[in-house]
Order: sequence, then C-alpha cells, then structure tokens
Amino acid sequence: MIKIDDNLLNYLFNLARIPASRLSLVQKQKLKKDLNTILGYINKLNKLDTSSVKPFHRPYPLEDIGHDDQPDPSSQTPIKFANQKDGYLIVNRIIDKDNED
Amino acid sequence: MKIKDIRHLTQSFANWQKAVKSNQFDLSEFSRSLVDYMHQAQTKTQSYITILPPAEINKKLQAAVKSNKPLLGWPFSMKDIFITKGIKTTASSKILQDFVPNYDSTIHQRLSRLGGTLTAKTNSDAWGFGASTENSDFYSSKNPYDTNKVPGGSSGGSAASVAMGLSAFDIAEDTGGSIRQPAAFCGLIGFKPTYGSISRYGAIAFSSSLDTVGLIGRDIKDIVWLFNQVKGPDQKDATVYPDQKPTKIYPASRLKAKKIGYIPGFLDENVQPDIISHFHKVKDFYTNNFNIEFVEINMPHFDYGLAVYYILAPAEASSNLARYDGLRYGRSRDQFGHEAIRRILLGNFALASGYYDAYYLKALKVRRLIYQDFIQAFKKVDALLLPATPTTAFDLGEKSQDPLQMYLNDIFTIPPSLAGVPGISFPTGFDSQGLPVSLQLVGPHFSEGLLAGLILAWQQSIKPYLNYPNLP
Amino acid sequence: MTKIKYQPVIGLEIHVELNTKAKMFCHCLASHFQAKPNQNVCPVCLGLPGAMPYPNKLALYKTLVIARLLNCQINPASSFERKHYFYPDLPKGYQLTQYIKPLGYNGYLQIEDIKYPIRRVHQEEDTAKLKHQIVNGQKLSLVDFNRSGVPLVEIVTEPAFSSARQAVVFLKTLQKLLRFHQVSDCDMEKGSMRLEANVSVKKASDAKLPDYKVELKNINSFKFTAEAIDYEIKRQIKLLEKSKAIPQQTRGYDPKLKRTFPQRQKEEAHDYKYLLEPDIPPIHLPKSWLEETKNLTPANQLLQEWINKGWPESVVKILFTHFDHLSWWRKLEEQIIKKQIDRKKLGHFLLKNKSRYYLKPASQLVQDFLAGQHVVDDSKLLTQTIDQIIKDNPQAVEDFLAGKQQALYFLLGRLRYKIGNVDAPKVIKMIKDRLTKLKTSSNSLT
Repeated sequence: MIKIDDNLLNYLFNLARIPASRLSLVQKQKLKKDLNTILGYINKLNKLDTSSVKPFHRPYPLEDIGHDDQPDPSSQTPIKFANQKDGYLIVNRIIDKDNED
Repeated sequence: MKIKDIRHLTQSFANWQKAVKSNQFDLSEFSRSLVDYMHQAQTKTQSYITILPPAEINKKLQAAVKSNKPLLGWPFSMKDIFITKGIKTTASSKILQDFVPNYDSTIHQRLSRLGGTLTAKTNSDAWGFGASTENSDFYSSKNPYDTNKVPGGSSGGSAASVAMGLSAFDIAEDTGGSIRQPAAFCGLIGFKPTYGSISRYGAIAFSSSLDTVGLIGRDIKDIVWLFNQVKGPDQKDATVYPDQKPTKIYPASRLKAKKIGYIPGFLDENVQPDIISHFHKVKDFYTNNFNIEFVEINMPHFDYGLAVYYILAPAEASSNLARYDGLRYGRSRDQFGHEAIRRILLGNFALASGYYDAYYLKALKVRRLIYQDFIQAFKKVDALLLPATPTTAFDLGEKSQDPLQMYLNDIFTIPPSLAGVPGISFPTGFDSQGLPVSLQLVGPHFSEGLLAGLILAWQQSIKPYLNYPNLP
Repeated sequence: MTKIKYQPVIGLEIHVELNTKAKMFCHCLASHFQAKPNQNVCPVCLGLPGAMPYPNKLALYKTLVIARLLNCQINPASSFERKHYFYPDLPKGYQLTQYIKPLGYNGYLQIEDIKYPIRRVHQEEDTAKLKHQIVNGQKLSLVDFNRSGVPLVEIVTEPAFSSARQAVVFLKTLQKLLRFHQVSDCDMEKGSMRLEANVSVKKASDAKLPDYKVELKNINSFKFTAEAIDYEIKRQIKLLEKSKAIPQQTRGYDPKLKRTFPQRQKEEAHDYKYLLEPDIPPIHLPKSWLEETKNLTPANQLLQEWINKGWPESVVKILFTHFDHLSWWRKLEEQIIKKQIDRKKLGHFLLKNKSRYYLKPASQLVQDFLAGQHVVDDSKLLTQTIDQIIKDNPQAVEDFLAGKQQALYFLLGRLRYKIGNVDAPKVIKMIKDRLTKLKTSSNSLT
C-alpha cells in the first residue's frame, strides 16, 4: 500500500499548482497523516476482485448530445479583465509550456 | 410581521397563493420583515453569505404578483455554489469572495422566469467539500434547533434557512449527501433526484459525475411541482437526460410501491438508536396502512461506497478546480482552504500516472459493482428505506479535526449517488435531545414520483412540515 | 575511411483549425482572425465557474472527413479526455482532446507511389492566443481568448519521411486536400494550419529508429519548414560524426540566420492526468456520416475519376486548381447528368472562359454553356437575317464584292450577334451565295 511521504507530498503540491508554503510544517504533517489515514481506509477496495469488471461512467446511456454548428453571438459575453491592456488580459510571462513562443 | 405569519406563508405554496390572491398581507412589509428575520438568523446561525436588500426583493415580488407568474414571487434561497447573474457567488470560498458573475445559471434563470424571488445565497462548506458547513472559508453555520450543533453539510446554510421558515425552499446540490444530510439534520425534505435531471449549467462543479441539483423544502407536493418546472434539457449541459416525463405523485390511496427493501445490517450499533426506532416506526406505518411488504435486501458492495467516493470525488474535484488560477478572475490558488487542499492533493494522487490504475480505475470498477447492486435490488423491490445519516446533528468541532470521521457521515447517502439513483431524505420526528431525525427513501432511476407518493403518505399523517426551531 | 551514411527520420505533427461557424464546445463565433481581442468569448471558453461544454457535432463530422481522406480506421464512438496542465492560455486548467480513442488511426496518404503512414487523427480544442511584450522592462504576456475553444484537428504521421522535400510535398498535398474538401482554410499565415517536425538521424545501416528526436516548432511557412529540416539534419549529422549525443529538445528556426536554435527545455515529462470528460456523453458517429464519407477520395484520385468519366485530362488538371471546391464539382456533375451535357465540350468551354466563372455557381456555367451550344437553324430566319445584315452593312458588302473574303466573317459576326450561335460554315456559304446572287442582279438593288 502506498504511503505518502514528504517527497510525494511536495510532488502533489507541485502537480496541483498550490504553493507548499501555504501550510506550516505542523499543518503539512497533519495533512500527510490525514491523507494516509484516508488512503488506509480506501485500501479496502483491494479486497474486491474487479479483474472482469468494466469501469462505470454513466448511470444510464446518454449519447449524441450536441449542437449542429449553431453560432449564437448573443450568448457571447465579451469581457473586460481587471488586469488588461487594449482588451488583452495581462499576465506575467510564464515559461512553462511546450509551445512557448 | 410576526415570524409565525412569515412561516405560514413559506410553509406551502397553497398558503402563499391563497394569501397573495386574497391580499391577506402587504408585500413590501413582508419583504422588510423577512430580511429583518434573516439578519437576526444570521447573527445566531450564520446561514447566509448574501442577504439581498429588501427593496430588491420587494421589487421582484411585486412584479411577479402583478404579472401573475406561476410562483407569484414565492421567496427562495440558493446555495452559494449557484451562479446568479449580478449577485455575488462565492462557493463559500475565499477564492471567489469578490466574484460577481455577468452570466446566469440555468436553474436561477428558470426560477426567475417562473416568478420566484431569490432572497439570499446560503452558506456551505467551501466548494461543497464537507458534511457540517464547518469548512466554509468564511464562518461555520449553526443548527437552528441547537446552535451548539452543526446544521449538516455541505448545504448547511440552505437547510437552516428553510428550517427557520425564512426560505420556502432552497436550491442546493448533492454530490454524496450534501442535500439529504443537512435536510436530515434540520428536519426537512432533502430531494436529490436522478443524476442528470436538472441542468448543472452555472452550478460550480465539484464532482461532475456525481453532482446533482436538488431542493430542500417542507412539502413534497411543492418540491415535486418545482422539480417538474425546472428539470429538462437546456442545450448547455450535455448530461441532462433529454426525454424526461413529468413526475407524478401517486396519492396515498393509490401508492405505486408494493415492496420496500431494507438492509438489516444497517440497523446496528453504528447507527444512533433513535434513528433505528424511527425506522421501525416508519416501517410499521407503511406495512399497516398500505399493505406494503418489507423485504430484506443484500447489497454486498454498499459498504465500499465511501472508499470509492473518496477517490472519485476528489479526483474530479481536483480537475474542476484547476480553472481557479487567479488570472482571469478570483484569488490565487494559495487561498484554498484546508479541506480543499486535502481533496485537491488526494485527487491529484488518484489521477497521477503510476497511481491511476490502482486507485482511480479501481474505484470506477467498484462503482459499477455498487451500481449493479442497486439494479439487482430494484428487480426485487420498488424502493429502499435506509437511514439518511448514522447520527443526528453532532457538535460543532466534534469531527472537524478528523477528516475520515467527517466523511463517515455520508455512508448511507454516497452509494445512491454513485449509482445515480434518486434519494430523498424525509423527517420522521425528533430524538431524545430534541434534534430532528430523518430516514431516506431510494428508488430506481426516474422513480421520483413513486418515492414522493410514499413520502406524501407519511407527510399527511405526521405533518413534519409544521415543525420549526425556536430561532430566529 | 568510408564515410558512414546517415538517414534522416522525420515525423510531422499538424494542427488544423476547422472552418466551422461556431467553436467546439460553445456557441461563440469561431472566426477570430483580426477580431478585437476577447469579444468572441463566453463562460465556457473562458473557463468561468459553472460553465459546461456542449459539443459541436459538425466539427466531429469534419474530423471524420479528414480521417477518411487519410484512409484511417475509424473509432465509431467519440469521447474526450481532459489533459491537465497550468498555463495562461488554458482557461480551464485542462484541454479537451481525444487521447485514448482518436477518431481516426492507422491511416495513410498516398503521393505518387509512396504511402505515408498516419498514426492518428483526432479532435481537440484550441487554446487562447498569447502575445509576448515587454512593458516597462517587465516581461508580460497578453492573452486573447477569441481563439480558445476553436475546433482543431491534430494529424500525427509516423516518422516515415526521409527528406525535407518529401515532408513539404506531403504538407502541400495535405493542405490542398483539406481545402478541396472544405474542412479548413489551412492558411499558415492565419494560423489555421500549424506544423511541428520531429527530426532525428540514424545510420542508414540501422534498422531501429533513433532513441531521440528534436522537435522543430513555431515555423509558419513550408519554405522555412524545408530550410529548418535541412539545417537540422545537417546539424545532427555533424554531431553524430563527432560521436556527440544529440539531446532531445525543442528548437525554433531563425529564417534570417538560417539556422535552428534551442528553445527552453523541459526537465521532465509532464503528468497530464488524463481524465475521461464526464460532462460529454459519447458521440456515436451516425451511420449516415460513415456512409457519406466512405466515398471521399483525395483530389488526385478524384482527378482520375473525373478523367475516367470523360473529362479531358489536360482540362481537368488546370480546372482543379481554379475551381477548388468539391461541392462546386458535385453540383456541376449533377447538372451534366441531368442535362446530358458533353463533358469534352463543356471542359473546353470552361477552360476558355475560366476567369468568367470563378466564384460563380456551377448552374450559371451550365446555363451559359447551353445557350452557347444552341444553334439557330431555321432557314427562313437565317435568310431573313442575312438579308437584314446585308442591308445594314453596305461597306462590308462592298468589301466582299471587291474581293475581301474576310468581310464574310464580319457579316457572320453581325449575324451571330443578332440571332445567336449558328453553324458557321453553312451560314458563311449562305451569305456568300446571297451576295453572289445580289452581284449578278445588282441592278435590281438600285
């Protein structure tokens, strides 16, 4: 059974884009403990043999919902951001993505 | 206006309609008094995030009455996870503390068109994460029957407001029990319909495959009527079932249910004795008055529901909360509360590659097993009678330090959510401490009419809609 | 010392913006080129709280068209996954895409006698547009969400190209194909067609594919793509010859300096936490769609089909470049069959008058052609008109009688102008005979 240690905890903070500094050391320890308690409880699922069970997605079939390329300009909500310049949203330059220009 | 007069008007639509049509009270006086009481209630129970100004309420009320809209201005509140155009919507979270949307939720739009008057946005656990409303980023709400106790969660403020008679009904959302459990703690009907009945467009998402829009109210007749008005597709939420028929409540004399199932294993030491005795009371009522047969049902995977839920719900929540990056609106991600952080990290864990198969995929498979248990059960019986909660309202602070203990509150409400079947909690009386007791009826998909018929029969005999706490 | 022979291994990843009117998951207008920023937006494509996706089924249809054109196997039920990462151009914190079950897979595009294998064709939504600016010394980005949610199709090839030239021919053919079938403008300048080339090099003697690849990104023309790939191949061969390892990286191309350069490198692979989108039920591609698109053929096959039908080859080849919309050809074909028109004659007519019919409906062309084909053959009318023409044009008559044969053609022209198309040789003879008759009885005219 997986136990969340400090490394994994920090990785999860990173993955979730929440600064780990949000919590004090004491709070982080409690968080770790709580998460591991919950994971411990969840572990009971391993008692069940699900090798031939298909994953559940929807309580009843629902298919083919969508529209036929109907634009509706009245549904548009042109937005003026609090932090804007010439109509563009301003953000700090973040260098983090594959497709960085 | 006296509180008992306010309560008379919010108790049933029949009362309201009669009084309005015969000019029995002054609308603007009503608006002012209602708001006064809401503010009083706020100091004692902290049920609200936003109370609308009396002038605004009065304006809407008068307009609805004048144009003879179906709801004639009947006043209602909404859990603050519902987007309301022009009215602050926070999800009880610091991140959205200043968020005023310029668009509307489908449910609010539909109720407005029907002539309902929104009077307040009610407090909840932030983002819907909780069973006590103690996880609100602003303040905990208190149970109006005993302010040392929680009103339940996540829709605690919703239930409290209706309990006090200050809302005719409240629109809330149930993911694993967030309507049924607080309704149970506050002596009201908690109506969670079949998943996909009412559009979720504009309901701030927690767990998309579980979130179900529903109502908290007093009278099952009114609830079903409202349900029929607001359900159905809207071309914005692709998960709304398109071919819904109007729900019909069968009167007590012609009850559709012939067999009700129950799980003996639930009537054990893990459930408060008052609740068990109420269960037997209700069982006898149906057996003796309507010749309904009670059948023992085995649902071998029911107990795994909580474990499944606490993988799936946080996983979907972590995804749904990814949009709150503070760039386009709202505060930055370091403003998330503790329970939110817990769930977001848990969710990231479950979806992370390396853990996905063992946790998320596994949970989806066990979910199917639970779903199949319900399908099998409903081949034998028309409905299931279950506890709504393992205990009545607990103390503030009693479980807030132990997340797992808090999660265990939802042990009876989660499995129906996983299967997407309707579940209605309904009040059955009070326990030895004077706290409301409720049970839960669960039926097959789209069986709200059948369940409502059973509850109507009970309602007509016991009249729980007449009960009010001493507050405000 | 024998020089080791190296072989380039090139794969392409192409993103194509579909030309639907609405965006992929909402009802906003999809067109965004040169629109004022942040106008064609709504809660859905802005990722506002409570917003939900509502799919545009026509976008899926167009994706199916592309998949069929590329001879793909088709996944009959389409669903979407959430691909999570944080970036200012991604308002929901995830992109909706088809990761697990792409709509099309295992296809190919045949060019001459080579089948270039296609790994996958899938639908996804576009991100917002980012512009980088330095304001008061601070590095900032300006975000425009007009593009957020526009439907994209991603086409991924196998690394089967062995030269820049091959890659560019493929890209040009693909561009023509998609334009012909009216699913996308495929305009590199407008950004409705975007390219990435993955380039690596292996020893010609190696059967295995190289264990690295260099991604060339942000190149917005075929010409620069070819230059970049060529440069990159040379750069990599140089490194390999020096026994240096080639780091897996992303590189851009500087057209002025004519070389590739490294862009910021990612330290580790990002965990996208793919999650099946719970808010979009699966969309089963209707049988009618599958049937309709079964007979789609790439332009070169279509060309052959038309030639087989009786269109003259030289004519068709030219006409296809001018009239490059399939629906126009389909309508024309309908009329041809209905009115039993001679394709050869029509083809030549069109060739002669192609500029007149550009952007005009096929029906107009057919109408004019038929009017032109109709030949006036009424002898009485002809005789009458000839007399009238002779009367109206005394100078031409004089010229003919003086021995100028050309005057006959002038008179023919006048006659045609008056009554339409005629059997020219026959009428010329009639005019000649009439004039000769008149000459012999010229006295009776005066």
